[in-house]
Amino acid sequence: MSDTVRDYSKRKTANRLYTQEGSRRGRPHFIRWTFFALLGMLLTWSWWVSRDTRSEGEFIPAGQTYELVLNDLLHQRHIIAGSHLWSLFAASPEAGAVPTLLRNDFGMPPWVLRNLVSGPCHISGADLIHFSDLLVVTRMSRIGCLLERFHTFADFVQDEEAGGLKLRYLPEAKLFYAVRGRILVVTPSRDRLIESLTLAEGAALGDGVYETAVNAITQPQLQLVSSADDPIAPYVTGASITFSFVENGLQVHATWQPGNRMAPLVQSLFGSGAHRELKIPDSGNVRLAADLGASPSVLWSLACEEFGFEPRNDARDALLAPLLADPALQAMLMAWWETDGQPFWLSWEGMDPNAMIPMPLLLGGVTMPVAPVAALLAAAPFAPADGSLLPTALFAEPDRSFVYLPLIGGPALEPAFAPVRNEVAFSLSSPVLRGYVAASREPAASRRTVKANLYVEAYPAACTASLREPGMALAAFGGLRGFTAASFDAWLQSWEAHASQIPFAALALNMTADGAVTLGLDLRFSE
Amino acid sequence: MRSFSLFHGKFRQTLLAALGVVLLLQGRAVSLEAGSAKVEITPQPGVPLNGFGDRMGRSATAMHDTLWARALYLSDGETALFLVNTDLCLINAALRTRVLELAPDVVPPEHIILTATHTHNGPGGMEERVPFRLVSGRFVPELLEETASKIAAAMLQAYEARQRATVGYGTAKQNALTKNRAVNGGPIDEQIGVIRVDDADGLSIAILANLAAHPTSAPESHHYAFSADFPGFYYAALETLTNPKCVAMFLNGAEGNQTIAAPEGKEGWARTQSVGELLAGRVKEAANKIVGREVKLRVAYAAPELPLSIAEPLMPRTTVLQVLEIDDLAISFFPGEPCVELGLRLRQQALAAGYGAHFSVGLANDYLGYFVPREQYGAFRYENAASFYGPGIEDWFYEHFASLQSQSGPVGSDESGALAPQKEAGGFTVMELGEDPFGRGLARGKQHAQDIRTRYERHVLTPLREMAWGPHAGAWQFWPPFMDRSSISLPALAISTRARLAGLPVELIREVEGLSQGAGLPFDAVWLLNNADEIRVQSGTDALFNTPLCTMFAVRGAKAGADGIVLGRNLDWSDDEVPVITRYRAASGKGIIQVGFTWNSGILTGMNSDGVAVSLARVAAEGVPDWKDPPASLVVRTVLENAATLAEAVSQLTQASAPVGYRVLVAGPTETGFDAALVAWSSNGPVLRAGEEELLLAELPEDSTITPEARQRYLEVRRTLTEERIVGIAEVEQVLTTGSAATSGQEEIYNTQTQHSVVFLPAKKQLRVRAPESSGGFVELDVELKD
Repeated sequence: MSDTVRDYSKRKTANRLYTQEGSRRGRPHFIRWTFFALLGMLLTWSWWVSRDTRSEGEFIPAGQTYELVLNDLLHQRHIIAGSHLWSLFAASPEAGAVPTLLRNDFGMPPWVLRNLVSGPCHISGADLIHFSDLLVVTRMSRIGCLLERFHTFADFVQDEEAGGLKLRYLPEAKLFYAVRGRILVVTPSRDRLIESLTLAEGAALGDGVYETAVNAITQPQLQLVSSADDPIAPYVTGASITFSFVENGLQVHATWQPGNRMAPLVQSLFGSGAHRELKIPDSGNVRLAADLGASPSVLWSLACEEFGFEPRNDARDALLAPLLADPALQAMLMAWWETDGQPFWLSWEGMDPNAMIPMPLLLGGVTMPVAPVAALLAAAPFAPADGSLLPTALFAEPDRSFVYLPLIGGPALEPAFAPVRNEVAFSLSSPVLRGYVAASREPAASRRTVKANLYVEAYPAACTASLREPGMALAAFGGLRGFTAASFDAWLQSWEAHASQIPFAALALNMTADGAVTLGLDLRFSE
Repeated sequence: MRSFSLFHGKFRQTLLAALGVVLLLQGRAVSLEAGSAKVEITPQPGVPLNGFGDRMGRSATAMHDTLWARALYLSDGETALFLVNTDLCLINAALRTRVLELAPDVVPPEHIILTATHTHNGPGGMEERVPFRLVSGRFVPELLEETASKIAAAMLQAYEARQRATVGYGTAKQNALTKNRAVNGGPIDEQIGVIRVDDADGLSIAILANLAAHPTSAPESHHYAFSADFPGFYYAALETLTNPKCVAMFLNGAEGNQTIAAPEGKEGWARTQSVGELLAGRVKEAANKIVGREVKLRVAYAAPELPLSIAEPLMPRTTVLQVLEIDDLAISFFPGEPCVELGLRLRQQALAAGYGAHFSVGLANDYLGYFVPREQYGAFRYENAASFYGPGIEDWFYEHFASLQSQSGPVGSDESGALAPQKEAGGFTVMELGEDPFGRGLARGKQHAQDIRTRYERHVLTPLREMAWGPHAGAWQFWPPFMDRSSISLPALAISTRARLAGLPVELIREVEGLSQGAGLPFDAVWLLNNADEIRVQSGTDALFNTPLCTMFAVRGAKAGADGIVLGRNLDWSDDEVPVITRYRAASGKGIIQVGFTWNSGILTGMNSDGVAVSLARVAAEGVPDWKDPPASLVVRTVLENAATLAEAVSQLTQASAPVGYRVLVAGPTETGFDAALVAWSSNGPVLRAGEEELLLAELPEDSTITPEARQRYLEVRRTLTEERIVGIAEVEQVLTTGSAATSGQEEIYNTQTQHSVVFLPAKKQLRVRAPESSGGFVELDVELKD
């Protein structure tokens, strides 16, 4: 017998317990270990199934007509959708649907979307009209990949075996998609999806090209490459367009490689391709500056071909006859006509609604030798005191600041021109030219310049405002086809509403040495 | 001794009577007030002139003499008014509106009478409407404001200068100061009207002269200088002859076709000065005989709706009419340039109504262009070219001025416009029309207004809007496509087409007036519709009316049997017209029946109560109608209304001034019975074919110029009728309906373009008309024409 006091009454229970516990001592650990094992298996499985086994480039066909890369789509889409650009297309149902589509979360919470679209979005296709073969390839996160695995629990996703290709379909959105590794491929076309999933190695874009394209851009960029049988091929061999949605504006930078139909025209138009620093006109509702490189003679031939103008016309020639009557002036005009690369500028200063016929007020200048014009100005007669002016004879202004053609009555209908520094300035309206000539004598403030072949900037609100009075005057007597004064007023109001949303727009074109044309567009929207 | 009392007996009576006279005179003298003023309105050179399109809106370069606004204020205690004359070419609505806004608020706006002397060396620049700027130059809003302000200032000054006054009027005669500029030796207004306004001391405050003449005598050397023309010299001379405070005023009369003569054989400025000074002398002479007195004034004002204008929306729908009465002198103020005939007739009307004198004043309150008398509406003159409200404007003025006058006599009025009896007979519309030409036209116009308007839209307005009609050469080729020139080309076309009215009877013009009023269209619109077929030929477009107008033939002699003669014709017309048979009595007394359409004023197929029957066909081989001739259908109508026999009809047809390109088949009584003939209006002159052939065809198949389709038709006619021994109405009917109205081409006699077939029996004064039905059959009507 031991000395140990044993309390059997309690210990029996305790012992019993202890014994039970003792018999159970392995279970909690089992559950725990089972749990962890399962968890581990789950994690392993999750990691395995969501590993990055494929690349985007495998699923993108090479040689598509257009490719658009969007980085950070989920953030960018709000900026794009929120742009005032879409309000300009309010009348177009298709364009108006774009912001709605961009904002559509398809019923999924944001965190799900972020995991489904975690990388750049590559959009490509060949159909530029209906976008029927649009293909979107992006990369999911691991979580997104896992979430997608549970698509069977989502009633808005339908499965289709498709010979083992395991396609999915979203009936509401009318989209097909498939997952390979962490790559998500989405398209409205089932055939397109199958094609994408079964691309032969040589037919796909490939990783290298893809990464190069993606890494190069920070803004939404659209690439266009046409093949021989594309409808756009005659006009576009290739194009790259980058969109920058900035606050209250949109900037577009594009490079365009003309197709075989356009290339000769572009070459003719832009001539040697060299461009200078153009001075932007200081005033005007629309301001244009250009150095196209081609001579006016070539430009005229191109315009006749493109727009059906008559190269020669008796009535027009009769109007120009006085300008050709002076031998020196004729020589100057002929030289200008045939010389390449003469920078010129033009501004539309508004309208004169009170002229005998409401007239646009145009002002312009051409950089060219001014000596012949100066000589003409010195020799031209003054208007006779009795007012009997020949409508198509040249007269000098009393201070000899410019010469003008009287034509029919009214300053807005008196074409005039004058030598101003190193250019010949001209206008349809003698007072407008007078103002310019006077201003040119003042110490010149620095003028804005731009390096381009062609530059245009416009102030849409000022443009529409200029049209109101002359339009109403013409409509009042039935002179505007299809309009009465009331209907013109209503029509113009709708345009004024649009124009008020874009206070400023500018376009610059440059020709590069390899025959491509670069374009820069700057749109500002009202707040 | 008899005490003498101031208040005794006869002396008292005499004293009281004298006191009463004095009081009466005092009272009367207080009630009439007048004031006059003049303000210079000559602008600075550099603004456009008005009046001559050849200036092309160029600006004035100098001032030859001063331009004025001269105002007279008159008040008889009940009626107050301003009468203003300005050295301007005209008063347009914009200027009047602004003057009324600035005028002193002492008389109602309806009592402000603004007139212009019509000098063609006055400023323009006050016209907002773009087409009018071609004559008045660019719009200068500041000039409008400045001129209106000065006119208002003259009125205010006249008002502030008011004082007791007397007024009198008189007339003088002249026959050497003016001449008719449209017709050498044509009528002039020999009257010089004079109104004299004196103060209480008998000194003239103002003297107004009314003479009808264009102030367009400034020489070429001063084409771009401001000048008041002869009124300027008149002012200066008269004011020299009177007193420094007298304001000479000039109110131009019915000057539309009037200008100044050369009474002293002078030229240039000397002539202008001569006329002005002679006028001043005559006016002073007349004024010296005028005894001023208290007068009763009355101003009547209306803003009536004008007749429809071919130049809408360019020309307004309402205007301002005013009549000023000074005792028994009535002055009618025209909103434009009435020709002298209107002024003379209006005066006759006023005198007949009991007025002692009447003046017409033109260029007052508005400018609507020229107003020409109805009988001159077809004359191709400048005055007609600037007339926009139709020939009925003359009567419109007479009627409205009469309604404004306190005394008015009978004024001719049109029929009330009750619808004419019309019945549907055998599928045709048959209209019985009265004798009054205007009423006839009105009835037809009202009955078929919708159809006439539709055809006007289709055959006139549409080709103009689409520029199928219209000038295309020269500067017109630069016309911008976004501009609609039809608002200008429509009146231009109408003006040139009016010339075709020349030589046609006035009754015809009246009938077209009625037709247009009934249809709710301007006169010129309906006239254009009546000429549309020939306009298309002129323009060379191959369309609606450039097709052979039918098959026509006559069966003569023994072959016609007891009927004596039978005529048959099909009228082919590309458009689906409503067939209308019209009966009326012409001014000659002859009953007329014609088969035509809703809108045609001429006759294509018809017969008169003497048995003369005519049918007209366009034959392209004969040439293109000359625009200076009246429309062929109207020449035919004139003949039918006047010819009683075949010989008369043939004579009139061969001697008429008729357009080439047509053939007329005519039948009628002869001395021995009835016969037929064919008159061709060819480019070589009229050709008559009336031989022995029993079958007289409008076109001979063996002619080298005949079209293949026509050859086939006439060969069929010849073949069919030659086989018949006797050809009566049934046989002719059968020939005329050979073919199908639903499917046949022009080579068939009865084809898809056939509108109606008519068989004439002139000896019986009967005709049978058939018209195709949509079902493929036809409807038929027999008509007899009684005396």
